[in-house]
Amino acid sequence: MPATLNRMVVDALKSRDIPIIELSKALCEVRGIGEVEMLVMEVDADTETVKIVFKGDDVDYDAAVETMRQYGTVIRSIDEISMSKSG
Amino acid sequence: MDNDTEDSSRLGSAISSVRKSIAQLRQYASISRVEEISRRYFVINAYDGAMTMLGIVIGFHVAGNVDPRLVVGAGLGGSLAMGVSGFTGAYLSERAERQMRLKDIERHLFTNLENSVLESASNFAAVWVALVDGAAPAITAFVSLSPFILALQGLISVPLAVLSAVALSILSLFVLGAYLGRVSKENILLYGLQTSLAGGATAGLLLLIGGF
Repeated sequence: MPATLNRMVVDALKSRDIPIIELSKALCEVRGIGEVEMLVMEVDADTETVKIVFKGDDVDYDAAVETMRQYGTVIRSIDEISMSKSG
Repeated sequence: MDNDTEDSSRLGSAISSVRKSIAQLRQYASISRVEEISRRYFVINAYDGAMTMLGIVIGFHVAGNVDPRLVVGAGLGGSLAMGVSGFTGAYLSERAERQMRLKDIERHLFTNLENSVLESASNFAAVWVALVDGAAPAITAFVSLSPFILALQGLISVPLAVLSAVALSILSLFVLGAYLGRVSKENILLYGLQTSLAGGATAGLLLLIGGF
């Protein structure tokens, strides 16, 4: 029985060249994501550590990772996850 | 009726794709922070264009042979060369700087940024800066040359063309200075006077060297 991803909290490292608004907008375009929350945790010279919360009905994890990469952001750890049985 | 609906839907989708492209270019401009650097390139090169034309016009005047055809030829040749040099020089140097920055980010993130928004924004910035850098001297050079184009058509006399070209060059320098004053939110007039004074000094020096 396949499971769907409904909520995920990740710790990510992003380039400071990308504003969090642009990254959030791009993530909202990913299939299954209905809501994105982003919190800047730490600021370095070139990078920022951000906590990102994705919420949705069936979040496409791979597409989210690829969108993040396109926007100069990489996941460092997945800290929370919420999945449900589909069908 | 069906054809009309089809045409309007085609037009609608074309407009929406243009809007999307503009939004994307705006996003690239914001990410690459290209506004500040292109402003700097624009002022430096437009300044060069106006000053070079001032030099050419007074040079011809000092040499005692102001033939509008020669002035326009020399001016257009000079502005074309400045344009091409500005475009290629700015593109190559800006691209190199942006590539270095991109590689720096890749190293920090331990990831490959090929085909990323960051890479596209960097490429956009290099092309945009090159276009600004190439066009800026051509714009001011054309403004300074315009009286000689009129003289070539027989619309104004050659001495009037010389005076107008010098005045337009110094006015262009003043406008560039005033623009800098507006950007820096300082005294617009003072900035304008400083840049036009540089033009006036150049003109004075050339006249002095040529012994009037």
